[in-house]
Amino acid sequence: MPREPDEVINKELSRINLHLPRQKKSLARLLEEENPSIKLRDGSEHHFKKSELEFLASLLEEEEKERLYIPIILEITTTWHGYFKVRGTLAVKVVEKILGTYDILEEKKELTLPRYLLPKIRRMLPTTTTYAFIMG
Amino acid sequence: MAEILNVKPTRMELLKLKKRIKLASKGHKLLKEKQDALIMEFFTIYDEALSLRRELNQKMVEAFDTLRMAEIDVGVSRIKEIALGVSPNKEVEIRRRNIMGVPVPLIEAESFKRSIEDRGYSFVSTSPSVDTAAQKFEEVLELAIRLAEVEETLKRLAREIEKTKRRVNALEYIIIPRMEATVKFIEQRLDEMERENFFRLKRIKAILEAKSA
Repeated sequence: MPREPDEVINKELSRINLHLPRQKKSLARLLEEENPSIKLRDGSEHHFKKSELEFLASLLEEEEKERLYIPIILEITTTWHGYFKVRGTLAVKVVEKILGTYDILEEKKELTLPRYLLPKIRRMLPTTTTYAFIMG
Repeated sequence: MAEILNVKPTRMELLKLKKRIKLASKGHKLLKEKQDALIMEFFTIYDEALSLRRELNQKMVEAFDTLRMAEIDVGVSRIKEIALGVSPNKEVEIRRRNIMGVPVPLIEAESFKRSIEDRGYSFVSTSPSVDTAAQKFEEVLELAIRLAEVEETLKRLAREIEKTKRRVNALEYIIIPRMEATVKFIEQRLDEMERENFFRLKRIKAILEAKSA
């Protein structure tokens, strides 16, 4: 039976962010786990690569591992076409270190970057970053 | 021209439809963003798959060359005997990760390279060429597992891109145009009703004026 268009749209919109984590975990906690993973909103498990977590740990100070929550969310909003956003001081630090733009004197809470930089980040952090689609 | 929806041509319906168009346009934009992100992800992994495939092909050629050398060295039947004595390599555990709602495999395999003792065959009765061949095939195994993960991810992403594209197109070419056509129809109908009403009032006025004169 054909469904109402509104029903289809609402279902699509509610489905679009089901891959986001139910609860994030700190890097320090994930490094201690035998099988580092988190539960997603749709109930499934998302596993992290240990090598990737170790790489992230190498980018941060010892005490910062407790404060970086994984996965890092790359926000894509409809209002900023061609850009994406990263929020959180430590998440920004990690992203900037990967892109080679980190400046120790600047402490940014959020960062807006052009979308063509996404592959570089995703290539380095395929399991510890995730996308979030936000309706503007 | 797009078909119109089966609704009553009233102001209430017009307002409702305008709201629905707004929602559908937002949904369309968001899905398009998802589609773009999926395509970007696909090509990022595609580059990796391509280089892995190239590397694997090269390693295979090398591995089969060394195997041929080993066969020349110890003989085909002896190689088969040695192969029977080889102990199985490490097991591979397949986990799952999620890319924008697409569950893809995650294989975190450690090195498959083993020492001669771990392989299980007697190195006294074999030759170094057999060890070289075994080592080369272990390298091939490692790459093949990595490539399996990447290619399966690509396949699943491609399927999701196709699905998302179908939804985006449905919104862009069917659902939104149909709603817009309906809005246009209701607006025209309401305008027509207003004109009719205006004409009716004019007529009544003319009749009343004629009567009073």
